[in-house]
Amino acid sequence: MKTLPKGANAPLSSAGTVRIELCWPPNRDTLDVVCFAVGADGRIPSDDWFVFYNQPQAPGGVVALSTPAAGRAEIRVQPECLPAGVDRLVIAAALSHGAFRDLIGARLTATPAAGEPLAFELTEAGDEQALIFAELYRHGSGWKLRAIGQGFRGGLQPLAEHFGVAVAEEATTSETPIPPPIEPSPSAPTPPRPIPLESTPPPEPRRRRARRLTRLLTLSVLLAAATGAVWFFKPAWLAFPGELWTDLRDRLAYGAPPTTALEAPQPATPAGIGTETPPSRSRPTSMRYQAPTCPWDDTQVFERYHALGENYVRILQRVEHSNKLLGKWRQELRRSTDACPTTLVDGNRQEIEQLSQLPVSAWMEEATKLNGCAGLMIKRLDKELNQESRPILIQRLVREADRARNLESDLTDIARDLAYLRNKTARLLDGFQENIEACGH
Amino acid sequence: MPDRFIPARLRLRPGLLLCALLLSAPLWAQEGQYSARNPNRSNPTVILEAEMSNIRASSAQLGARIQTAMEKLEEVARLTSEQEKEAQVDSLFFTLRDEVYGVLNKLDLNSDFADALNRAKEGTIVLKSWYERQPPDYPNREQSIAQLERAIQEYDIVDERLNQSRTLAQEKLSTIMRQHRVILQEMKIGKVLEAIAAARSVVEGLNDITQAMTVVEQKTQQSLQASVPIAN
Repeated sequence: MKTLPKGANAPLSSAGTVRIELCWPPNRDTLDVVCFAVGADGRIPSDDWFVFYNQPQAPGGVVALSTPAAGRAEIRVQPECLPAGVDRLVIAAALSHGAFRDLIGARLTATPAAGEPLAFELTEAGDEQALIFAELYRHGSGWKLRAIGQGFRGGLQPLAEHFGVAVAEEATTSETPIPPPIEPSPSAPTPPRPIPLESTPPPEPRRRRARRLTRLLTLSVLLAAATGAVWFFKPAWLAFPGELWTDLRDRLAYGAPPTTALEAPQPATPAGIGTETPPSRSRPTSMRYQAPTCPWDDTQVFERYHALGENYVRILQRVEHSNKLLGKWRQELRRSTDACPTTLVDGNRQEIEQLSQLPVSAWMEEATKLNGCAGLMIKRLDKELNQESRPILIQRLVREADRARNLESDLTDIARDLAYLRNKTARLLDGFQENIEACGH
Repeated sequence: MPDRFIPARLRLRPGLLLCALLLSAPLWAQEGQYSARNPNRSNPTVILEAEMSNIRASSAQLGARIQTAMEKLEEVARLTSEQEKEAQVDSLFFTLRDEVYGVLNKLDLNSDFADALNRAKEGTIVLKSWYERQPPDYPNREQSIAQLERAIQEYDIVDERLNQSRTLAQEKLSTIMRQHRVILQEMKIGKVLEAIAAARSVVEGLNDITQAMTVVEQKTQQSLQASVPIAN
């Protein structure tokens, strides 16, 4: 069995079923092992591809999670049966309380149907409540396993949201967290875990009646609140109940996550015309259309854009620095006649560690979101411009529209560069690993 | 405060103002300019075209070296001095080894060519996702998405071919190094003809690399042609 250090990767035979086992001391906290099957954009194609305790299987059973014993979880994967849209499987775990520093020694083992098993042992962790152990990713025509061991502050919910899972929140908030900057950020509070179902003794009849009454009362209040909310936010649903059906049907057919922010204008549907043929469910993921929304106002968009820009420049410089180092060390290795110097091996390891923590995907995602916001901003300003006749205001609106266009253009370039930088980072990691392997480590 | 300091402070004021202006300049000048800070910003397909011509040149150079090496081996076979034969074969193999090293550098996972290829591929993926975010009635949306998807698949094929070519070049490099020693040994013990025949087969085998590189080049060309969305 080959044990991978943090950041290292190795090919994994993908024929048949790959068994990924996560073991931790059974006397410690219970780990919620999860798996995200994500696409090239770093997000799950739909919530079906988030495998966790309440959904232990992905479509077709290509990824299946089980917990055969205390202190052990098992994920069975059939890499060759995964759809082409799935680029990697991220294997992570979350803690209900405590921190991962208490679980040092937890071990992940990936055993292919044929070929050498690969292992990764958690040797360092901080006060994180969620941790990405490893990822199985496509490499050429095969698959590779990369040991990550990267903590994620805030627990399961932010981790799931990071990979595009629409998490039903208890209280909605318009604030979306900015991706972590390159410097370490302070820890976020841990969200409460879903309350597990427990078998309780049956209550006494009088208490039962009281409970039933309370439930009825709560239900009535909730129904009244829901009706009020519909009347306030979606009056069309009360006027034309068919619209409610159309909306629900679209959400089910396209799997679109519910959005509470800006919505694209929808054509008015007269009452009774809500029975057109629903779009086919077999529509490919890549062709799905989701009306753009932006959860931020213009000022917030520009603030986030500047934060993105600063981090983008830092990522650029970091990757460029690593690229130069790789070239330099490669040359040194080729020219070297003696054994590899320890400093060179250590240097390569350090680069792997630092590069694997670079939040390129998170910023890439942010750039895409902001790009959508810029598009909406342009549309809104163009609309306002068409309705405006006062020259001074037209001048101001033209300037704002130009500013929004520049923003969109820069964000498109940034998104493109970040996509490349994410790809380059993965290749650099492979390159540094090759150097370490060339040194016989 | 003594009076003599006042003129000095007054003289400094315009300088301070200028400094303040310069310091604040990035705040208003940089808006929409972050991507311009990338020194490698350029059209990815243009970079790839340029890198492809480098690959083509490298492949052609290796082809020419193979041809020369074959001719050289014919001459070596006609030489009478054993020492001279050894020296010629030695020099020939060193030249070829350096040439394959050069090719390997071009095919490396982090080579300029691989960078350009991946930059073009990632750019195409981002472009496709942009089209996907447009409303269904956006002109040529579906056709562009389908075309860009094909281009991405083509890029994947190039990537695979590139990996194969790299593996092939690495294998050939190992063969050159192993055979070099064997051939020199054979020459020393008088098996000159066998040694030259072996050398010829090694050199001929290098043609596989140039063929593989030609395939990479052709596939890249196809990907480039497919990576342009349908005009509105």
